[in-house]
Amino acid sequence: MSALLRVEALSVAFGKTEVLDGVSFDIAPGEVLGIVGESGSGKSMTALAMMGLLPPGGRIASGRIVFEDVEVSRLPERELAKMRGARMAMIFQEPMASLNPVLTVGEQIAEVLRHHRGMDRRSAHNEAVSLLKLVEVAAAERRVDEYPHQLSGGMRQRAMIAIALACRPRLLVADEPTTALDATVQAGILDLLRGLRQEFGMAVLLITHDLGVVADICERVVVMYAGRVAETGDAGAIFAEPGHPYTQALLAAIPRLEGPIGTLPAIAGVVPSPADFPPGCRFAPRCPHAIPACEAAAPVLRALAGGTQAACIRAEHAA
Amino acid sequence: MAGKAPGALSRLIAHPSFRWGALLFGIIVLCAVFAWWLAPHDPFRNNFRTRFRAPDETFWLGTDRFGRDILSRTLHGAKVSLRIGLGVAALTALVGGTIGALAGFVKRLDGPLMRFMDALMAFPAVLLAIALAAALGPSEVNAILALSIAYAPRTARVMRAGVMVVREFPFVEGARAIGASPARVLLRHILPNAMAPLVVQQTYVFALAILAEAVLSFLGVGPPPPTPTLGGIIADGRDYIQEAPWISLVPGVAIAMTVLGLNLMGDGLRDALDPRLRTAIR
Repeated sequence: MSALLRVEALSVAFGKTEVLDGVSFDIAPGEVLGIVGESGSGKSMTALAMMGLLPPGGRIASGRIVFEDVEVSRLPERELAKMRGARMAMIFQEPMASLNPVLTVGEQIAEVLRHHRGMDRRSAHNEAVSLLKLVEVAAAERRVDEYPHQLSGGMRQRAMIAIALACRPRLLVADEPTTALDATVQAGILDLLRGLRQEFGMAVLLITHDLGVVADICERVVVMYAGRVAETGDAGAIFAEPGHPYTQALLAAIPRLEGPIGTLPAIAGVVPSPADFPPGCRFAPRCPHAIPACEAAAPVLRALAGGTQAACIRAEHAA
Repeated sequence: MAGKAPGALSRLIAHPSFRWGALLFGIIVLCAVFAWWLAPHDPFRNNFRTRFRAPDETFWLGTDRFGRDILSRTLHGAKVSLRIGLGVAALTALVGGTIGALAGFVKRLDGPLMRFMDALMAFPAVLLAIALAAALGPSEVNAILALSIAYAPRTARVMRAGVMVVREFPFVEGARAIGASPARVLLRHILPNAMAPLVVQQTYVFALAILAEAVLSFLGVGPPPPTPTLGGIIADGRDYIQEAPWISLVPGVAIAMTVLGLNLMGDGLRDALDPRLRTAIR
């Protein structure tokens, strides 16, 4: 089966500063792909580029984004707007602020239905109620006429998902959908996403910094660091035999229930800002296995014995 | 979150200064609207036998140098002044609001539009009105036009600031992510959330316009006589302030009460619509 979405050597720049450099991955229909990385690694920028919603000043410097065999990165704004919300939808991190406070939840769901599916007011309202039921909002008939501030955080995120699902998109981009929610609500939302994906055969691109979420729901993982793909592979392989020292460090930084209590290993330093990315491997300054050759040239992705692909020339030594 | 959440209305009614302001302004508006029924005398009728009457049982608030009833003239004058205030508030909201919304939403237009507004703002309102009255002749419509040109920049600034704040909210990006066009994003998602400061601002513009109209009429570039306007009646009494102070005093008090009522209402609106001050209202 051909890929639903292909990102090929995507570079995004603000002025002369490249925030994404040669990012490539693809998503098959119905697949759940996780993009993980620290703040500033370029996860959200990748998603925004896919939606054609780069912030002002940002542009695609090179590379292509192909969605359903159409090159999204070349589409004019008018065509993009037709696609957004209909074929490809996005949910955001902040359910508190992602709904319009002066419109009822129902009006906001109905807006998508009327805009993309040309429904009249009455049938859009009815469809909004059934969408809220679909995302398991209790008392949907009552909630549909309520304003966002009357809903809890989890319910707002469900309402956001209902808006995103309104046109049965082929791809749902979820940018940290559970970060702002507490743990039990988070589990509920992930269950919901899992169920919806099976029901509609919808692919999900899940952006998160939470490896627990990735392990819970994703089939494949892309690990990003400083605007580049550090490692990619099946979720199982990434967790069992991570090849890239960065992935290893991320996994080591997860608190564990068993074993002795000690200091949690942390990765020294922070992600460099795009203006002063180091030459060569961008993780080298923070990497315990770095050698001078690491700083000479940008490493390319290569297949490792563990089943993943990593952009590291020292992967065999780091294992 | 900016915007009128349900409950804003009840907060408004509970607000003491809004209640008193609305009461005061409401009475004045009713008096002005029903001026023809309420006025005890014809505001235009000269009568040389009743010149400069001090307040008595026939002329409750006295008469002017033509023997016209001051109460009747003030009631009718309030009607004209309120019409001008309303006209200016509406026109600045429409024109200034549109300019401000575009400047705040379309980055390319921001510089040119706002520099133009700055240039307008640099003109004193009264000077502009005098120039316009001189060019087009003094009339009620020209007074509204002149004052609207003078006050539109303030409204534009308030609207622009509101739009710029709301523009950055995630739900605006969310609206774009579901395929809403820029016009739709602006009209349906940004403007309703950026309206609150504009509403408050327009109550002040209303009050400012009434004051400015008084100044224009006083200077003789407002609606021409014999149309009674509050500023015009004050000007009529200027030369007789020692002998017949009621001529200027009565319309002066009417202006003060109108502006006070509007400003109290504006304060109430501001508090009720400003989420940061919500808890302070009890």
